[in-house]
Amino acid sequence: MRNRLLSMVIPFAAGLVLSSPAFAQVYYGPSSQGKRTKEAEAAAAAAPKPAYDPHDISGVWWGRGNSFFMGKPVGRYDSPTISPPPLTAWGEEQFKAHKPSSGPHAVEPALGNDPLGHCDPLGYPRNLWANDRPFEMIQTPGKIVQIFEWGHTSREIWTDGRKPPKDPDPRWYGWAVGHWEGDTLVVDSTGYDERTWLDNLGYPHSEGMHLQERFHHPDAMTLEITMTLDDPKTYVKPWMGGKETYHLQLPKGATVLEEAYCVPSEEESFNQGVRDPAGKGISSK
Amino acid sequence: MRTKFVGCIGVILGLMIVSSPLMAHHGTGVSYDMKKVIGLKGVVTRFAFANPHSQLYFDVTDDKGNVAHWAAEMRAPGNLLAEGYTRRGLMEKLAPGTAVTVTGNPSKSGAPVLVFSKAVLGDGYCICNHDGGIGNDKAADDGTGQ
Repeated sequence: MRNRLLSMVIPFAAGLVLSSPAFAQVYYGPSSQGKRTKEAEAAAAAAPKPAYDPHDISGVWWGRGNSFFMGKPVGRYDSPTISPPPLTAWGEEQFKAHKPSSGPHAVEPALGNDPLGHCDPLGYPRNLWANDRPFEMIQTPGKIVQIFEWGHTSREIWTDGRKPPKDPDPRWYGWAVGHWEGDTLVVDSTGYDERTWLDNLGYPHSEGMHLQERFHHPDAMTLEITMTLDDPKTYVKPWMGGKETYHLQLPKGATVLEEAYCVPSEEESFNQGVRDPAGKGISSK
Repeated sequence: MRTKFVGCIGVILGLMIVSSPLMAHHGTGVSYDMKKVIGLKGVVTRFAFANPHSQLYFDVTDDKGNVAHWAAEMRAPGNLLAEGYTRRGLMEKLAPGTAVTVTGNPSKSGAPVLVFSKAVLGDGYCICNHDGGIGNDKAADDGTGQ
């Protein structure tokens, strides 16, 4: 009798589980470049908001309307109105050597030298804004791992009280340590490789760059980041970034970043077949 | 009247906001004449579902039998996926030898390259972008900037 009951209950329970919306599709892409599938939008609308904990910033975040630049406010992408602090002589030299494909100093891409054009690592902070893509925060007791959709790459923010390494060899994504000041996570980072650009306009930085980011999580669905860049070798005074606002992508736990690798062989094929011929010679026209 | 005007401005601003970040990637805004729209009938030679932009290569034969090798800069795989397309589905739809009518914005250089708006196959199936950004078929259809 008991076996018979079980044999009825188990298929019924399995049917319930398998037919629930959560199992209809086990993962959803986040908003990326402003777009999300209809299925993901429906799942997000039906998903419960997570409980609010100001110290829990885990999840996938996307920043609709954020700047792609260090400074704010900005205008259109191709005519930004940022006001960086004056460059030093060294900074000016670096800036002139950079040949971006957007903004007031844009050149045809084939004549440019944007690291993006060859799938070089974008580094930080540029990958925070790259191509209007989301990022994910994975929080563990001793560190936070920030994964960027573009390049499917990551950086670590150590929160176990350790100090940043002294005079480290530079890295694409630097060395970052964080601590909580009340409900604000303060992240200090140094040790950046100066081959990376700050943004799509080609603003430079040196290996001496110190970034301080303040992460604030005012409600369950919102994450705010404010950044200050201090790099006396490149800028005559610190550069205060504007507040960037990011939105939690629901369903939390079932939203997965796209595997948006920049594949060098594919990039080269694109450059040769499309990018370079499309722009060739237009600078002289 | 005022509402209609505000609506038009809203649409234009919306398109600017949505399209500007996408256009700038890899210099798209620099390299193409986004105010000009052209349509071409051809045959697919290759489709690449790849970052930073997917690509459609196709041959166009003129009345005299001359063949021009065209390339179209499409949107990134993530955008195509978000529109409901899949890599497998597009590879099948855009298999080499498929007849296709491609609409887009031509290169400023004069090279046979365009930014993809849409591709319509012989059976009427359309690979379209349904809102702004690179290859905005609405902009092409309503003639804005032509």
